[in-house]
Amino acid sequence: MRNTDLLDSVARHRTNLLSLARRFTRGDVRFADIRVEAMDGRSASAENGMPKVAGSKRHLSVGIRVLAGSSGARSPGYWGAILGPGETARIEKRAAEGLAVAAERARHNAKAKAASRGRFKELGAALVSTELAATEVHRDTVPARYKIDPAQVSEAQAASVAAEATKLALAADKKVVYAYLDLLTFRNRRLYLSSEGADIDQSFAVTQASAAAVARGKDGVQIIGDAIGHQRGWEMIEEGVTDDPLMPIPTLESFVKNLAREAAELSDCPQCPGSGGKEAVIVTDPHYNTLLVHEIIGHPSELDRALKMETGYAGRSWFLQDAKRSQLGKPIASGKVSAFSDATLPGLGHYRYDDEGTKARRVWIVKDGVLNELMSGRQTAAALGLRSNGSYFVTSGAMVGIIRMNNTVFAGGGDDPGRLISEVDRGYYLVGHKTPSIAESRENFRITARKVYEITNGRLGRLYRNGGMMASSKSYLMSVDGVGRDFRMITISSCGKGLPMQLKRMANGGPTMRGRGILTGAD
Amino acid sequence: MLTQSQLKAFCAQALRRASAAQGVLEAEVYASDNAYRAARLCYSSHIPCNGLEEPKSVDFGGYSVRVAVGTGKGLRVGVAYESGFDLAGVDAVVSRASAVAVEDKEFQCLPKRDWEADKGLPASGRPYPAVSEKELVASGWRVIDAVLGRLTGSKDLARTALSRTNGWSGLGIIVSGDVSVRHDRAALASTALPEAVSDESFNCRAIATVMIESLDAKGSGFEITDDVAKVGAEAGADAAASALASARGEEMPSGRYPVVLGRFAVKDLMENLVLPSVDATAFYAGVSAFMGKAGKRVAVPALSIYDDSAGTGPQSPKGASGRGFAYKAALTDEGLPVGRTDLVTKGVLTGLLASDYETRRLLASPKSKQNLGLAPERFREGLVPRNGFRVGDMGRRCYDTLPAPMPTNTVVQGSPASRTSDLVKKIGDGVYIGRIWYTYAVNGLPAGDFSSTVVADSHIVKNGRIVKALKPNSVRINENIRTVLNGIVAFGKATLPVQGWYTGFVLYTPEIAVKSMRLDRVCAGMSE
Repeated sequence: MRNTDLLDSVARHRTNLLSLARRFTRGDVRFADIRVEAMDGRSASAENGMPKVAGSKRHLSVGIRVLAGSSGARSPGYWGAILGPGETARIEKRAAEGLAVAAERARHNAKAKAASRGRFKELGAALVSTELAATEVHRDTVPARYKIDPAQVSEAQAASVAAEATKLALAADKKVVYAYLDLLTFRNRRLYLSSEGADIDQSFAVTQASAAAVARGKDGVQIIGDAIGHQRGWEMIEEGVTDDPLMPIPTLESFVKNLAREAAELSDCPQCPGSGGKEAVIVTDPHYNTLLVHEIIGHPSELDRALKMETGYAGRSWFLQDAKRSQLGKPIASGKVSAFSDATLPGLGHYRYDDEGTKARRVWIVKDGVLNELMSGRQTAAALGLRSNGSYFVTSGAMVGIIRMNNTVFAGGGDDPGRLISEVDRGYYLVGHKTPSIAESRENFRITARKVYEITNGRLGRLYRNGGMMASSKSYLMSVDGVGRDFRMITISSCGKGLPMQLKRMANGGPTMRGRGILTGAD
Repeated sequence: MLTQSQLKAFCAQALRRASAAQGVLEAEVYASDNAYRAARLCYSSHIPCNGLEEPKSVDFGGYSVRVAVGTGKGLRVGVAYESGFDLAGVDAVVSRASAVAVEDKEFQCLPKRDWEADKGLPASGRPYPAVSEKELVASGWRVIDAVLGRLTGSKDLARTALSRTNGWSGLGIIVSGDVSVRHDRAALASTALPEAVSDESFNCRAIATVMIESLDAKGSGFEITDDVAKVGAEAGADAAASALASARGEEMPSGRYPVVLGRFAVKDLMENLVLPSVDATAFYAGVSAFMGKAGKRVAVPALSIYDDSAGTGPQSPKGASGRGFAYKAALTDEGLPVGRTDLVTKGVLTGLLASDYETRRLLASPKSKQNLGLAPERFREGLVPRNGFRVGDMGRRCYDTLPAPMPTNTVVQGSPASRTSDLVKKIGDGVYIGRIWYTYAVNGLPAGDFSSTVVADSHIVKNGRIVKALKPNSVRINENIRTVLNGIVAFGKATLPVQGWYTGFVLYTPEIAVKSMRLDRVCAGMSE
């Protein structure tokens, strides 16, 4: 089978899989859905000017969800498998097997739920029948956007580009002692078919480059890593992205050279001394705010976390105590701060329908400082009597969906970013995000920056490395007194959540902002 | 799942085709079949829930072909992956591997094994049975039932529930975590090995986090075993007991404190800071926290750390010890024998986690002397490729990655070993830190700085005794790993297995007392 056939072939099973899901809902089975994904991609990596590996990855995956069991204790059961391209013709058979296994799990689960409910009278009352919030049933086919088809890129070309890029990084400055690059470009096609009649066929093209540079300076080594990515074809590597004003992407050459030069520059800079545990005025650039919004707004507004479903892993949310007590409708930030998640925007987190067929829309998480809405899927929305806002996502057809950010950002403001610095007598300007360490409910954070500039009398002064900001999430957000008009979205190449961990690509971002926090330095 | 014999037969047949292909000088076929089963725990007394949320499975299977081909320009190496086990497709995969071959100047040859010297070492791993749907679901509910049983049996908690308007449900009880089973079978055939080899890994673990939100209480429990029919109850009961013991926690001011780190906390430091720094890849790239320290002191002389999946495991009162290590591997995914690698011996960096490729290039690289701090040939005993595994998500051994250094069972040891009460006594006025979260090298691994939040199982210590619980999430650690390793003053007696959220390897850790760590008070929990 040729590579492009793999993506085309799954669509041939669409009608039969839909019929399979619909037929399966009888007896105690109330709902069934089937996800099929075909993926065809190229990857290459290089170190220090040498190609390391190049290859193609293609697979087919199938995921099943069934809600079954006696009324009052109905429960979910799941099944997933990664199949070989040679098994395309067997998708329907494998899906039928998966439905049977998932239903068996759901029934065992329902029985055990009913037993526990009887055993623990008061505490058992919380164990309820699984419900999904109502959603419109869609039938749609969504094409991918690309100029150069990732499936047509040769592995040799990818390897050569990767090797050349690391060569450029090494040559950017003699202090650079190590350079790494990983390239990935792929097309995938996702079918979603449910017993309610949802019949969605979405295709995506994704291209991404992740790089790291290590520089050795007067006082040790400095390592910087970053990624660029977009929902485009291989053209992103050759030309960058210039036609998306919200998420412009530089060329690969410019990206790796800048990264290497920055590592070299920082390797000779002094360590950031920190502000001695005292709060300081801190101006943060869009790249830094990309990770900030990801950690203190994006994650806590995922409703599965807020409903305590991730307590043992990714944590809870500082937005919600329980079904009745929450920050919704209350100020959690200064009136200058708004934030939203919007999968309809053409960033790395784009989709038209989420992975249970709900049409995506803009979710205003924070409006003028007030917590407005959390991201949900059908099951999590039902727990609060709401409708899903289309935030249920799987990273592979075989996985179970969880609530995920997509294009999640601080909204742009009206302030001149230059003035946000020039108005500061004494403070710091943080450029670029580096590494986060976040509290369990995201209620406080320490996030390091790639560069820290001193601000004295409105001017940028000395440059430091190994600095960052530490603050309580709410007190920082309430302190924001300036929001720039330089909004942009930036690549987050990998965010882990769920068990098994699902690594998702997305876009986060925002404008330049000014607030107060503790400046951290080297420990 | 295919059996080990079936996988070996597949690899041997595929290798015959690969090695016969034009231009192929060396070839290797690696096949894996993985069955992953999980049941997620999602109980909350104050929010409608399913209790057991995701009884699920993910099955993977496929193979990779790696070839070294000779061209006019020299040796090139290529790899191609394919899901499924279709022998008819092998020729196309071999062609793809040859077509994508690159000139990696650091590639010397495929991993070789001295068959004569290895006589008596296993050529295949122990087989394990599949897990039934009923067992999977039952194991998850066993944890939940154990937690709710232990909590409802607490008279103190019952009194508290009675005093509340919403009774038990108003306590805000959460049970989170999972029971998960990772079952991997793998085989490898290579022109560098005289015959095909195979291995099997099986690992069943229960991890439970219990919260009583209204009392700011949080506790953890962990079990790892081969027996799915029994797993769960112990982890649930331990987590519930720890949550009860940590109720009504208090905050504490910022400052430097002597601490006792519990085994979950030690696991986090090892997993995120120490193990990535004793990896041959980190030394090649120059990004270890121990640059230039090979053969030199990196910790107090009382500390030793080793990795092993061949031995019997450390003695401990419970868990998988006594039946061998919890992470089962008889061979690496390069077909080489596993064994003990002493990483830190009496405080000295004596070995690195290494694969065949990383070992060879570290020995050959002109930068190695500077990065290691001594000529690599003088560190030869510390560079043995016993840890070349192909690890994908969920820690599964999988065909679609290349071998890289990975831990298997890493044991942290120290002497002399003391009881917990003696460790607490030793620190006088300080903190017992049971579990930490989001432990990252915030300024990059070479700097060694890390930040982490204290999330559970923690207590304030006064006059050598635990006097009250520390409120979860109210303290952030801001410290340097080198300071911690050089500030250890005592070790706990029991070295027990623990595992991370998404990793396959297992850490055997004791409690550790550290002279001084920087703790910063931070805002905790939900906004009111």
